[in-house]
Amino acid sequence: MANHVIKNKIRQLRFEHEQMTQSALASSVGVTRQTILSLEACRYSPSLELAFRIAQVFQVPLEEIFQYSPD
Amino acid sequence: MDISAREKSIWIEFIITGTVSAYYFFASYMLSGWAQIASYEMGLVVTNAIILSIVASIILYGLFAREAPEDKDERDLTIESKGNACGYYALAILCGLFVAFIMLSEGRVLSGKAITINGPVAMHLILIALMISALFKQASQLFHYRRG
Repeated sequence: MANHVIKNKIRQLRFEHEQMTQSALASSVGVTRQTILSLEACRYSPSLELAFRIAQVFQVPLEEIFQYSPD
Repeated sequence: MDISAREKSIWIEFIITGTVSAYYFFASYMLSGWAQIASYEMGLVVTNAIILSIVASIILYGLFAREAPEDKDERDLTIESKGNACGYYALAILCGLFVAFIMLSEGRVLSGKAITINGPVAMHLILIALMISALFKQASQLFHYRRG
């Protein structure tokens, strides 16, 4: 499986949501801050459950946060 | 370095395992020839290694990891399973090598002299396999934590 295939807009969405900190997002979705850091850097692809939890926090559809780009 | 409490704890485990392994290898090398390791000599080395690991744990955890690691999240579990897989492969390879080594040494192919695989020697080989596989597991976990 190729790396960096799933891109995301978590960082952008955090800033659009009153500059939410990584720690605040991490505690909202039940992961560590380092996991959010890795997600934002596209070094880690989240599970479907975590992706849905992040979408729920930002109240946007999943596909608005995560984009699958095979190329 | 941006590091979680869990990663810090793995770093400490890695340092302790490395220190204990280094002591163990050095001490067992200094024994009177490992082909004739006596039970009491091995017992002493293993006891010292256990004491060293306890003292190192108290010092390192006391100095660098006073806060308890947070609950494991899905990334921690993924990295842990990758580390376990790496440790398992190392253990399987080492066990295969030791079986081959025992078979060859029984046939006096390796060194031209007989090596008796008695209890202490078998324990020595098992401990080596366990230490090296633990080092591989922890190194793999640290690699994946650093890589992301």
